[in-house]
Amino acid sequence: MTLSADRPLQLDVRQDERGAVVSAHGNVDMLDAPALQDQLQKLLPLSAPLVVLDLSDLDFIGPAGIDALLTARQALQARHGQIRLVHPNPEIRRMLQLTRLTEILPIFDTVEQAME
Amino acid sequence: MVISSNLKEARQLEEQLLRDVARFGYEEADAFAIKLALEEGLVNAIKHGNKYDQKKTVRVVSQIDEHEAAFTITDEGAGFRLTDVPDPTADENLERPCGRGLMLIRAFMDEVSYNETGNQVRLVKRRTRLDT
Repeated sequence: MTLSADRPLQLDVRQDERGAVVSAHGNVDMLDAPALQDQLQKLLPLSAPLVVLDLSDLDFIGPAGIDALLTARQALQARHGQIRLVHPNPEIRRMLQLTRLTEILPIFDTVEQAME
Repeated sequence: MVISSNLKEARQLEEQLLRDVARFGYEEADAFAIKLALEEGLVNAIKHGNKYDQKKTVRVVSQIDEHEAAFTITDEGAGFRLTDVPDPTADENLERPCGRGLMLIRAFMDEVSYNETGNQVRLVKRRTRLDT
């Protein structure tokens, strides 16, 4: 990983009967945050939306990206859904811990664990 | 370096500064902290300081060497007071977009200071030396 050679954000989505997995690759900076929020909100029509956000290949997320996660979480909650996070890198995990967001955005080691 | 109140220009400047940092061999954790602080500083200058006014500029001075990376970001706004920013970790603010970025840059950077007006921030990250 070399933050100076930023990888653009790429989101891959797959769904099954348990919910949706959004795999985020690259970086979520100030300009990418709306794309992340849009993708998460596209999943709202799921009947009981469980959205697992796989962060294992994400190098960076800024405060704007965190805000996008929270906005999507609130929208999902209104439909009795939830967002779960998978394997953020140590720096992203530290951001979430410092801001107490680990209390409302649960973190799992693997996608399979998060889908249970 | 001077940019207009434009997030695309901010991103380009941020990428250039991170390339400058990389040339001195900063560890990834340091680079992450610097990227976080630059993004927050530039976004705040453009959004809160200059209110996206394209006629207003953001000025960035960088001083990067093998010991530390320092950045001063100045906008043309009226400034702010840190004491006016809510605590993002308070229960009632946990899900609100308020103050989280400022808190994070204070946690990730070694020095964060503001001028009296509140329209200039100085950010310093001392390079982590794994061989000491």
